Amino acid sequence: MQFAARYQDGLVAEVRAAECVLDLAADPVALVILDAASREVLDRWDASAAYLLHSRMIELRIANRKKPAGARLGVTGVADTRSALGLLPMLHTGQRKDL
Amino acid sequence: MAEASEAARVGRVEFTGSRHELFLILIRGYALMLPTIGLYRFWQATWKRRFYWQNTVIDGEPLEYTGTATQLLAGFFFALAFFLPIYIALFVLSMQESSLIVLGYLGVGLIIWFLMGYAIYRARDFRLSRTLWRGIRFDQRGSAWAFALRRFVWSILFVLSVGLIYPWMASSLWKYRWRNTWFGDRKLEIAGNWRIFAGPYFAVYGLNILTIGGTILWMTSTGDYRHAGTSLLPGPISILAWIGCVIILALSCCWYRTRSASRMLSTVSLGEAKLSVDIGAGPLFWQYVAYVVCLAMLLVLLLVTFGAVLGSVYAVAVAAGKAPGAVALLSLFQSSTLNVVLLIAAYLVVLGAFGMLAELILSYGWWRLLARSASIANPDSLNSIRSAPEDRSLIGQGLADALNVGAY
Repeated sequence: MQFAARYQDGLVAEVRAAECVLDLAADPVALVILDAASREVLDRWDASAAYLLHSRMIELRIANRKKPAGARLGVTGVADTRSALGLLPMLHTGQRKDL
Repeated sequence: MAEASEAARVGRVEFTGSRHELFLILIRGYALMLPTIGLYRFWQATWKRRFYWQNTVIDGEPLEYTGTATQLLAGFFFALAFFLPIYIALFVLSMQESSLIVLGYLGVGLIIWFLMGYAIYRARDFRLSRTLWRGIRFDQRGSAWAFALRRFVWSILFVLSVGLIYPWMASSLWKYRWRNTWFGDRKLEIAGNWRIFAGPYFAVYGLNILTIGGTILWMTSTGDYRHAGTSLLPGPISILAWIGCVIILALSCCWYRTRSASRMLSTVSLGEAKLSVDIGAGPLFWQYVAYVVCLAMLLVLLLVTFGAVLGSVYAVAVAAGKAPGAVALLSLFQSSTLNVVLLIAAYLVVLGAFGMLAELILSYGWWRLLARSASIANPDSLNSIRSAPEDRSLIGQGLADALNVGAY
């Protein structure tokens, strides 16, 4: 299972179309972010450090505690949103605190 | 989302938020404001900003607000500590002789006016430093004290020149704000100057002096007025003329606001990327019309509710065998804790309803209008911008909350 997303590394203002897959063999389990066109690995996120940000209704915005503050994955569309929540179940509980 | 062209791609700006969504945020906010003695407003402000920011989509990527309510709350407490000596000074002043009171209040008024400039700048700094786009943070640099001083001196010149100096004042303050605004490691530029404001401003200034002055002149020369005690009331034709003046004033102000904002913002650039804004005056005018109509409807609703409550109380009084007179009715509203609580609650409901209406129609309307009329030429040139660290200062926004200045 994989999902499509818009990826920003939080270091430069470039948005890249990406495909995200889970590397279950890695320790800790990693979310591998691939360039959608070339399949080149753009980044690897510790899947357990991913959390949801506040976003508009039609979008999931995912950040990571172990990455730069602006690093994001933006997921839109019902199928991709379902896949993302399926791959990263901790997103259901890992919402950013409101305080 | 983005239109490709051979020369330079143009990135569109969209606004995807609905009034219904904002209404729910506001209703929840006002409902929680009462039990939290107003402290929930910092959470409400944060939710509102999240709503506006995340629904503003620039070239396919939404803005993100990362500020939190506790940051606003902490800033507010700082500001309270800052204002405590001023409030004590006001209290001591109120017990002095009258000439000293006038001078003292004038001095405090000037200090607060100066501080408002500081607060406006720091509030903008707070908002920008907690705004991300494409994962990169904005920032406001420059000195808030320098901005406050600049604004203060311009304000004095504005009063002395009967408002004629406004284009130079507006241009100076806009330039200071925008030339100290950064996106990541790149500084924004603004090429606009006083000429952009001068045309629309003097046109509006002259037109309104002509219409209002002409109406007064016509009224006095034709004698179309009558005396009511010590005041003058306009006659039937003068009333029509005054209504015309108000419509012209509203239309011309809308035209000035949209024209000056469109032209000034269209001179903002970030390296190779250029902002373009074209806001129509008509939609803004109709927003104000809708606001006035809704306000009138709300007032009628409140009056009807008040009448119904009064009627019920009167009926209860009659049923209890009390004399059905005004004195008896008034006596029901006296000396009761419940009545005081009800009065405060009614006051807060009225205040909240007016605030909500202004937010839903005017603030939301202006933001959506501005967003939907904007576009960015050559947005791909922004890809190389690098991030800068977050400014974590708090007190600036707190001062803005204490003085009730700043927008959104």
